[in-house]
Parts: sequence; C-alpha cells; structure tokens
Amino acid sequence: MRSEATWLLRWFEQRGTVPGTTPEEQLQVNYFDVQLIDSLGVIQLIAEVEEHFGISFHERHFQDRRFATIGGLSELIAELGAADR
Amino acid sequence: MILGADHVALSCEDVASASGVLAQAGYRARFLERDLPNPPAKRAFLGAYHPRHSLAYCEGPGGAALELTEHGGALPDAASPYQVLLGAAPPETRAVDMADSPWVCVWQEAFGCRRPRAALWSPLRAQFWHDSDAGGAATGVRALLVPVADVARAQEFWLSAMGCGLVAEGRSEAGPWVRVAFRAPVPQWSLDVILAEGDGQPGSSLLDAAGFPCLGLLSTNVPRDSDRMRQAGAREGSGEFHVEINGKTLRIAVVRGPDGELLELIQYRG
Repeated sequence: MRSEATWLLRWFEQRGTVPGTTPEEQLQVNYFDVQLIDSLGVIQLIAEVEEHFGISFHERHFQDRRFATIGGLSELIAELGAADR
Repeated sequence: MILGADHVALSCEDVASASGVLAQAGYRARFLERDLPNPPAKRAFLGAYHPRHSLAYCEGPGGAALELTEHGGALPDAASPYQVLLGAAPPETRAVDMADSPWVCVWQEAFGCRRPRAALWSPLRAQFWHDSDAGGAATGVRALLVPVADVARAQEFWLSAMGCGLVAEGRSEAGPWVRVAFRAPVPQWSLDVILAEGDGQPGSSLLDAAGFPCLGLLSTNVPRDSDRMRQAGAREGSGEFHVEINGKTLRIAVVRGPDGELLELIQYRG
C-alpha cells in the first residue's frame, strides 16, 4: 500500500470504522456514501492533506470521482506530489 | 479552492418566524443565532448597517441550504438579485405573472423546465421560480439564474475564479446563456447556476435586499480565493474578517462579482 493510502486510512480510522475486511476493500469504500465523513470533516481532511503532503488541491481534483475513495484520493495526492517535485 | 455552495441567503424581518415558514416547506434549522455582531466590513454591502444581525441556517429537502438573515428594519420592495428555482412551490405562496419575463425561456432551454412559473413566498416577500409541471417535487433549491451583461465575461469569471464546470450553453429569444455548476461529492454543495443576458444591465444587490441577495461558498482559503476572484473581474470585496457562528470560527469575505452579484466566501477555522 502506498504511503498516502496508509496515512489516509489511519486518518479515517481515527474518526470511525472503515468498512471492509481487507485494506484493499477499505481503499474502495466511498466515504461519502457510508457517511464516514460530514461536510466539516471534508474541509478538515483537505486542510490536513494539503499541510501534511505539501500539496494544493484545485477544484478539478475535488470534482474527480477518485476523491470519494481512500484509494482514489491517495492516487490524486501522489499525482499532485509528483507534479510538484 | 472553492468546494461548492454552502447556502443561498434569504432575507427576512424576523428570523424565528421565517424559520417556521421554512419548516412548513420541509426545511430543518440546523442553528438559529440572534444578535450576532455584524462586522463593519460588510457596511458597503448593506442598504442600512446595523451593528447586530440574526440568522438561521436551514437545510432543505435536497439542494443547497437557505440562510435566513435578519438585518433589522423592514425589507425594501425590490426584485430578488438572484433568480432562484425551487423544486416546488412551498405553502403560503401566490403566483406572480411573469409570463413576459426573458427568464421563462431560459429556464426552459437551459434547465429543462417545462412550465416555469414565478411566485411570491408571501411571508418572506421573496420571489422565486418553480416548474409547475414537476408535480410532487421537494421545495429545495435546484438552480440559480444570474442576470449578466456579457455572458462570455461572466462565464470566464465563474469558471476560472469560482471553479465551476461548464454544463451547457445556448441562446434563447432573450439572448445567450451558459449553464455552469458546482459539482461536489457532498450533494448539498452542488448547485447549477445559469448566467443569462436578456434583462438590461444587471444592478448591484445588497445583503439586506429582499429575496435571495447572496450566494455563500465554501472556501479552503479565503484570501487566496478572493484574490483569484478580484483578478478575474470581481468589482469589490470586503476584505477578510472573522466571525463566530454556531460555536465555529469562520473566516469570511464578501465579494461583488462582475455583474453585481454578491458572493460570500466562508472558511471554517475549527
């Protein structure tokens, strides 16, 4: 599992139980659908991800379908990090 | 980054009774706060400044939330700066004859309304639109229409500075229009906005105008987003100020867009 996914999984697990019996299943969970996060939580998530990984999201990333799963979001973070390097 | 729509402001003369009116329409007040300090930075955006104001944040049955704002004093008689499409007419409304309005064909062509009808939400003195053929739909906010002087310039502003996506564009009898949208994984943050020419030069609205005077937007960085809006053609801004509402510290800026529309950037600070 990439480091971004590990960090995100830990972030979500501090706030509730992430459904899934394996990490692979957990990475595919749509955290909005299972109400793992509320609107204020989304804002906190963005702020903490930007600070921790030193990246800046753009509206197009927020509208990307991948933003809704831990695995997808970790891909976006990795892409943004690579672009900044 | 602008995450999406937080609320559409709705002016009222008494926030408690207005909250009751919204409850009848299926809205649920998440909080109601009276006599909050009204930051002086908003003075330029108000018809009459009062040092205190009250508000209630009401989540609708689908669509963006409505934020009731009571600034003190009677509501002036004026057209609503934003044209708002509700999913259905709430109780206590009466029809308004707007058959000649240029927005009728825009709602039809840009949003697919079959029979757009204007009505007055009498207790709130707020004019709105609904599709009288969409029987049984909830009363939530479905879309906004912003009258603009130049669709191309407005489109540039809403796409580049506001982060909206382009949904459709066309031309009605009244003039050109574009439909843009905030799209977010949180459903209530998503909102369709139609920018349309066709009713003369749009005027400048005020936060205490009757009807729906302002669109509230969630921002992750108010200074950065307001600067981006200024560079993209916003007319003026309040500068950043801080308020505490419902136990949360918010970083806020009020910005007037290129067509006089009022936009409020809101950043949660925990």
